[in-house]
Amino acid sequence: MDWLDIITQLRDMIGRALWFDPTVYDTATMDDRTRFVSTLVVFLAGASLLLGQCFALFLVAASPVGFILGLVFSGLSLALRLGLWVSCSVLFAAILFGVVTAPWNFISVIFVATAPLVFGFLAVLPSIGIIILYVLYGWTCLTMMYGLFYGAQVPFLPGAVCMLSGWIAVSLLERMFFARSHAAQSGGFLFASRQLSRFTSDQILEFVKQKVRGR
Amino acid sequence: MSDIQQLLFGAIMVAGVTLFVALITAPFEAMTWWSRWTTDPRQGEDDGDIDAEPAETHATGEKEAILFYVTGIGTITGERHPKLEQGFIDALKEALPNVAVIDDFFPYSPAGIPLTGQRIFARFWRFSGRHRAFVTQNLIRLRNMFQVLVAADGRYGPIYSAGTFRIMREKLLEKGHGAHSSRPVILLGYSGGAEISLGAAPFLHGEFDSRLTLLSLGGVLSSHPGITALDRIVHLQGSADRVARIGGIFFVHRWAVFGGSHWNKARKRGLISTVAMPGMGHNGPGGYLDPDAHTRADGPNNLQRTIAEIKSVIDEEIAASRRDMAGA
Repeated sequence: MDWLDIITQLRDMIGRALWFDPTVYDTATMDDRTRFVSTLVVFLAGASLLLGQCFALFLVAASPVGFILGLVFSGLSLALRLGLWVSCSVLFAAILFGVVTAPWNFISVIFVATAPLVFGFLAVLPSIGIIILYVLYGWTCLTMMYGLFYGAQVPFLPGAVCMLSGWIAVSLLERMFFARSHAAQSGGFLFASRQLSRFTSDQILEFVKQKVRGR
Repeated sequence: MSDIQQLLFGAIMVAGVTLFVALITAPFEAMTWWSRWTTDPRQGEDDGDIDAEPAETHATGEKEAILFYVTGIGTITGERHPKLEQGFIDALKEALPNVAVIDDFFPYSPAGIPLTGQRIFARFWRFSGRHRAFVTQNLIRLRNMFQVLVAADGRYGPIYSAGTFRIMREKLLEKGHGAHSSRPVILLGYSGGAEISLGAAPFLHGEFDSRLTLLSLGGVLSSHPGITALDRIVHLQGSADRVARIGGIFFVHRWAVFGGSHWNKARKRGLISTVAMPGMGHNGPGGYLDPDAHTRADGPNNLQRTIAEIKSVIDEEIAASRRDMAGA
């Protein structure tokens, strides 16, 4: 495997996804290498998102190793959640509409569509970073819809119903699975990347006040 | 493209990239300070005991209030201020003999390090401070404005403010103001200093029992959760002050459509009052601190009008504090 080629393909894939190129979502031309590169896209997106919200890692004073592990965990967890979402949606397609398809290609379509989130690190910018993050989320939403309904030719209404049902199922699963880790506020990089980065400003203030009082 | 066009384009690109790098790295001073402070037990050993009864000095023993001046974005150290601001502080001290004034706080560093302190670019900032040319002056302002953006950000703001609070607390203790002191504390925030004061308010409120008021002098204020920790906010705004007005537009949660924001809730409760200062600009000639500018030829100058407004707010605060004590 030539990493230089992979990096070139990764750059090319991100560029084409950002500019709504329908051929990048064509499931008929996807091979193992393309699927691997699409996984790299989502991994980068997840790591970049946490880099943009790295205040959480600083807040828990994560060690350099914890910092890197946090980024890796964020990338992997985004890939896992999206993979699970598509798998649930494909399952709903089989149950509701009797359409049986392998989830692999659709997973790659969704992975590629996360390309705008590769710029998630821009959320670091003070005061305007959060606005940029919302723009990136909107852009990703559009690339996902474009990739699924135009690039991969999924019929709009049944596709939307299945994806929505899949999203609800994943949210419920996540709540059940992470219920224990919600309660355990370990203060480590896992807590920072999963919980703290989603806190509201009031919650962050309260967290900091408690830490200051505790010293 | 001609050579000159290419040169111009290159210069704009370099300036743009430099600005972007400066902005994206701005929060890291606060974040690295925080992670060091929370993990190193030696840091903060000299913070002083809040519960120990402060030794009231001759200078502050008979004072009725404490005025904490949080300087504007044009400054590089806490000790030395730009000429107009120094004139303002001197006049303020003269007009308020019954008030202890703290004026040596540098608010644009959560670690309390002035720009001329131990920093990589200290030599450059020292040079900028000595040669107050248009470019260097605006570079200082830009650098400090980025720190105001960090303080106003809901993610970095609490970390930043924990740092500034630590220094403010120390300075209040030095002035003999303890946890149970009854003298009101008035944070006088000029320009970006108002936002920094707002950030420190929830921490100060938790540590000191006294009345806490923010007096914003052309302040750039966001809809910060710190608003709820203040007893009152008085915002002095000149009719020609574009900076304060831009602040109101930039911080979108101050817009009336966000009825549930901290700013709008406080406004509805009557916590925020605005005092109009006709004809006054933000800084420089014609600004709040200009002793040579007059709205009316026979009337007081801008500096005198500003000080008169500040004095009336401080008198009201002293009276309110006495009422609170009598009621307690």
